Formats: sequence, structure tokens, C-alpha cells
Amino acid sequence: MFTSPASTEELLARCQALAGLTLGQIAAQAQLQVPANLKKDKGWVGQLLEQVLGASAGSKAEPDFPQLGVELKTLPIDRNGKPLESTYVCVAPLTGVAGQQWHESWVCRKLQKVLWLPVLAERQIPLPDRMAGSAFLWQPDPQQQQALQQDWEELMELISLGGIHNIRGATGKVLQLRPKAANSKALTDAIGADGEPIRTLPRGFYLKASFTASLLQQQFTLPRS
Amino acid sequence: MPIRILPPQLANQIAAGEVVERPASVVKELVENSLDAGADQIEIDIEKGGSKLIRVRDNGSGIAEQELVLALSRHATSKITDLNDLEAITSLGFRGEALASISSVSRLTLTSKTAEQSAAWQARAAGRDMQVEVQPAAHPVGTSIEVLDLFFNTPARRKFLRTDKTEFSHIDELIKRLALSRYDVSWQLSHNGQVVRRLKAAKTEEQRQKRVAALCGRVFAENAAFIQNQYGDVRVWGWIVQPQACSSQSQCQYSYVNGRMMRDKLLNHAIRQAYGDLLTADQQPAFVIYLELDPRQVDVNVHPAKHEVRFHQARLIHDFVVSALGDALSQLTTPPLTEDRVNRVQEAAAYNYQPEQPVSNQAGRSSGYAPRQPGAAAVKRELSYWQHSHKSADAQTETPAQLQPASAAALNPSVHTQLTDAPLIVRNRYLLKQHADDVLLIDLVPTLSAYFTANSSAAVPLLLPLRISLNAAQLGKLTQLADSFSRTGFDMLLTDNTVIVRAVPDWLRQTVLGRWLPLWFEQLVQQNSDNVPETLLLMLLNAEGVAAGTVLESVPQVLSLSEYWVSAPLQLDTTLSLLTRQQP
Repeated sequence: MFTSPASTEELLARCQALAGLTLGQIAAQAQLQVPANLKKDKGWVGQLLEQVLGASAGSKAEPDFPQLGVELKTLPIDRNGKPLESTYVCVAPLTGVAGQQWHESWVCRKLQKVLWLPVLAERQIPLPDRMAGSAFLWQPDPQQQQALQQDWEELMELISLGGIHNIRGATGKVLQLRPKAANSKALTDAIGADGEPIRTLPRGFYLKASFTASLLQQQFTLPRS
Repeated sequence: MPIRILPPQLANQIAAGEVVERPASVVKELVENSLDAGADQIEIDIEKGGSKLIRVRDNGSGIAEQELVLALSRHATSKITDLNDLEAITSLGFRGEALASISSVSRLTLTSKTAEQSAAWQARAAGRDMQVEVQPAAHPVGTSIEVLDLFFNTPARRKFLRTDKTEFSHIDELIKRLALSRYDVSWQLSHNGQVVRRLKAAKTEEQRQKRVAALCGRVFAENAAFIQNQYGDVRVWGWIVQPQACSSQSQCQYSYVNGRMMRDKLLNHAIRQAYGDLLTADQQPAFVIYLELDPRQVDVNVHPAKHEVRFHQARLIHDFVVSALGDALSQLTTPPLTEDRVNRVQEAAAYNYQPEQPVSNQAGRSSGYAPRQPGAAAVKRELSYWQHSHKSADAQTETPAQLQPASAAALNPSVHTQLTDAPLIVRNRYLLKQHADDVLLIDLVPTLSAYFTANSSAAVPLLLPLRISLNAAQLGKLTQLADSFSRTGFDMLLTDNTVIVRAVPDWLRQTVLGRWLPLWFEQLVQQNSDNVPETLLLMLLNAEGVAAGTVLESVPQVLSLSEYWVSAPLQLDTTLSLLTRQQP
């Protein structure tokens, strides 16, 4: 029903057509049911928008729009344009990453070209009334690239050298490493403090909300707070 | 207590606290001096675990007579001359503290002869100011140092000494480690007159193997494999023991960086990681591993006893060691063919066909060595990348990351515009402009509306579009004026009874859209006006406090396009007559 867009322009035009529509309206256009809440369908908003924009990759390890090299990220924001949460980038590899360098990393590749789709998603707004904002295409400029790289290298050094348990959310200026698991029982392999194999919670890389806020500010010249 | 300079002996005794912990640390400092002096024969005599006597005799270059006095003073060394040397240490010592420190807590005699001298000389330091006495002596080319009665004057330290046997076992362990760092040196260690170890210089591969067997034991020798791996100027080689043969007691765990023996956490970590889950929790890896790299890439000036180093590219070195040893271990082990193991091997093989996808690396693999094969390639790629580009990378990191968007100027464009030619605007509507000999009063409302009508403006998207409910009359009006809206720079969508405002002209971006847009739609209906920009300007400039100057800044070209002006010359007569009357 939804074909994948042939060009970046077409993708942007589709996004523009969504801007200002509520999730309820978008879902109705796509003839989909809006769930009562997101407790059971945590990724519903992202999936809905992926579907109506014609993203193909699903959860495969490639960009959402592979032929355009564009990754789609929905960005929940409040009415003042402040991101409500940090943005998940990808799973952090905890083993088998010997000698990986920044430009080969998932993080770097995922963030090469991102289509940010802000969604007004304050908690008190009912799900069908939440509204899509104006999407925009972003590529990291050299300074952003470097800030991401520095954080990534620091975090990867801690992971490789067995310091994974010393990583807090505060490590990293723009990128952070946080547990990402359904519950505290899902464990994965990692490297311990003495180089021994250990089991730990899977981690994911996240962009800090302050970083995505700066992207919005840059794009829409919002007043700074 | 008043502040005083410490007497030299006390200062040296304090420094000795860091360097001289027990007899074995004295032996370490003395033997390293011998090695730095180029000796290839070193004899160590110990009595009573070293508390009575430590004697190190070498055939190194020796110390010239006139330098003997200096050799015993603190911060005196021949090993470095300036800070640049410190960046790339190739000798074992460099701090210039060892002899002064040791002589401050013992009775130290230094006897030495250089090849050029005809006779040997002996020096000893004594007393509070560490005065050095020098006298002639008999000695072949090289140096002997005798340390008698260690800690005789620091009883507190002396109390920490263990039994002679324990202290000697520390010395023996140390000599083992040192002997493994220099195969080209012959060593002899005696305790209470009995020769405990005698190692001939090992020149061939076989002789070196023999020395390893002699020092690390039969079990180690039978189960260890020689490994070697090099990339660029980083080289790792040595012996590692097959996982099956690793026991729970720690056997030989010796690592060396540029010939310096280490107890480095990073290296141990890498070695343990290379074994992965080939070892159970209670098995300890056993190894003798040498890492060689450009001395400029290592900082040895971290710890006085130099047990630890810092690598400039810690993760790269670590990963190189992991992958090099991991490769070797995977070739070394013929794993028992359990079903589980077979699966892993297949996985590893499949993996090799697509080494460019670290993506598949991540899938929580519990395998012991599967990811290492491509890992080695990745490490090498990374090393080469780094070796080639680290200079420019260094330069880059000096510029601090600036995440501030370049919006500071955009937010406040008025600053420089106003400075250059601030337009003179009265009543937030009329612009005063010099034109020929006249001053013109330009009415900005019709002028700007004319301009906006004739030229379409760019629409700037709003992060959050506005949804405004409309009544039937408004809906009709907006539908009728759709083209005009879009020319003025609005992007609006009418759905159901709602208008969604997605984009507005740049000059409206900083206004409170949510407040005036509904009012404006209502006015359009009431006034039944079709002039979108004019109603907009009239309302905003009058009621909504939008500065006419701000609007003008978004289209400064209007000021030079006189065809749009709605203007009249300013009548100066009244003002001039007022002026004349005021003159005396």
C-alpha cells in the first residue's frame, strides 16, 4: 500500500504532508487502529510513521530507507520544542569489536543521514491527538561528528577494556550508553574487568536530549532557554 | 614548626620509600642499571634474603672516576638529558633516584672501572649530607655494587621484612622475570654462597626455548606455543599456554613492554580476553608475552617502580593483543568436537565470507573465538589508519567540539542591520527616507503589502504546525484566498473544520502565532478583505506589537525598489517656521 519513496525529495514531500496531522488522522488514512496506550505497543508511533512514509527495513540492520541511505527517527517533543527523552541509536556491541573504528561503527553509519520527525507527544495528550511536526533531514556537521566520535571512542574504550560497569548515563557529552533490555533477566556477553567473559544487560547507544534539542534549535532557530 | 629544607639524606630516605620496598626492589634497580650499562654478564649474590648483603656485579661500561660522586647523588643520571628523551624512553631507568635512595637506607659501596681507565675506583656515601669518599680499588671493567645492611637506619622499614626465605623468593622471582627479558645476557644468582640459578646467554631459538623451560617449568614448556604477530611498528610475540593446560594456580604470567617487565592491567586484560570462555572461572592463563612498539607511543613515567605504563592508543594496542593472541589460540586448540563447538566453528567460517559487516558481530555471540578472525583484520586496518593519520587527528582534537548551532546570529539579525543603516520609523508604520533633496515619508503598510503581493515569500516550516478550528465563513474565506496565502509565505492545509498552519514567512516566525492567527482569520471574514498581506500588517503593526523594523529587515530590498513605495515628501515648512521663531 505504501511504496518506498524514490528520492529524498519525495520522502520530504511525504513528511510535509504529514506535518500538523494528528496520529489519529494519520492512522485513519492508513486504515490502522490506534492502540489505547503505548504500554503494550511501545514502538507503535515509530512503526506507524515508518509505514506511511514507506520505510522498508523494519528492524533489519540497514537504514530505514536503504536506497536513500536515510534513517528515520521519531523525536517526541513538548509544546516548546524540547525533546522529551533521549533518542535510541543502536545496540552497543559488547564483544567482537576488536579494532573497530568510528567510521565503521554502527553509530556513525546510522547517523550519517537522519530524517528527524518530531512528534508533539506530551504525556497528557491522548495518543490519537498527538501531532506530527515538521520533519527535516540532518547530517552531522564536522563539529557534531567530532563530538560524537569522541564520546564513542571513550565509551568503546571502556567497553573493550572491561570498564562497562563504570559507564554511567553521564559519561559522554552527546552520546550515552544505557541498558536496553526488556527486563533485568535478559543478559548478554561482555568483557569483564580482568578480561574474563561476563554476562551483563545489553546496552544501547542513545543521543542525549540536549543534543537533539540543539539540532531542533539549529533547524528551527528556536529561542534558547 | 618552621619550614626548612630537608637534609639530603632525609630527602633520599623519603624517596627510597617509593622505590625501595624490600630487598628485591634493590636488586631490580641495580640489575636494571647493569642492563642499561650494556652488560651481558650479571652476577647477583644475596646473603640472608638480601638484608645482610646484596651484590650485583656486571661487565657493563662502568662509571668513570670523576662521575662516581655524581652517580650517588639524587637526580643524577646518564640515561636522559632533556624532556624530549623522556618522551621516548629506551633505557630501563631514567629517574636518577635509585642509587641515592638505596645508599640512604644502607651501606652502599660502588666499585667501577671503564675500559679507558687503568685502575678501578670505589665510592661510598656516608653521613647526613651524603658526602662521597672515593678511593682506588681492584676491579675488572664493569661495575660492582654492594649493598650491606639494608634498612639499618630505618627500623620501621626493617620491621616489614619477612623471613630470609621469603625475601629471597621475591628476588628469585624477579631474576626469573628479568632473565626472560634479556636472553642475550648470562645470569648467575647465589644465595648464602650457593648458586641457585645459572643461565647461559641464549643466542639461538632453541636456547631461548630452553631458558623459558628452565624458568617457567616443564608443564609450561610442554603446553606453550610460540606466537608472533606484527603490524606496522607494533609487534607481539612470546609463548602462551593452551587453555586445557591452564591450571587454577597462577603459573607464569609475564608480560613485557619494550623489554620492560610489567604488571600492566591493560595487557593482562587483553590476554585474559583472548582466552575468552576457553578458560573456566578458576583457570588462570599462563604466558610470557613481549610487546614491542615505538617508545614514543608509551609513557613509562607513570609509576616510580614502572610496573605500569600508559599507551597513547590504549584501545588499539589492547585490541591488537586480543586479536593476535586470539588467532593464535584458535589455531592452537583442537577443540573437543561437541555439538556446540561445531556450531561455533561453522558460524565462524560463515562469518569470514562477509568480514566487512561488523553488524553480524553484535548478535550476542557466546563463541570463544569466532569474531576474532575479522577482528585481527579490523585491528590492523585501524592501526594503519591511526599510524598514518594520528598527526592530523591530534591537531583536530585540539579544537574543542562546538555544538552550539550557528543560530546566534540568525536569532538576532537586527544587530548588524541596525548598526549599518538603522531605518528611521515613526508610529511603527512610517519610514523616513532621504530621497534626492527631500525627506520622504513612506507608509510601510501599503508598500510592504504591494511588495509581498508582487513577490512570493519563502515559507519556513514550523517545528510544530498549528491547528486552528474554523467556522464555515472562515473556511470559505481561507479557501478563496488560498493562492494569496501561499504567495505570502504560508503553507496551510484545510482538513475537516481545521486549518493546519505548517509554514509561515520568515518575518512571522518569532511572533506568537497561536494568538493572532485566529484573530486574523476572523478579521479577514469581517472586513471581507482580499488583501492578505495588508490585513496582516495592519493588525500586527497596530495590535500585536510587531516592530515594523523587523518586518523590513526580512525584505530590506524594498528600500531600494521605489516602484513599491507609497510615499509623500515631508512638509518641512511648519517645522522650519517653528525653528525660526526660536532663534533670538
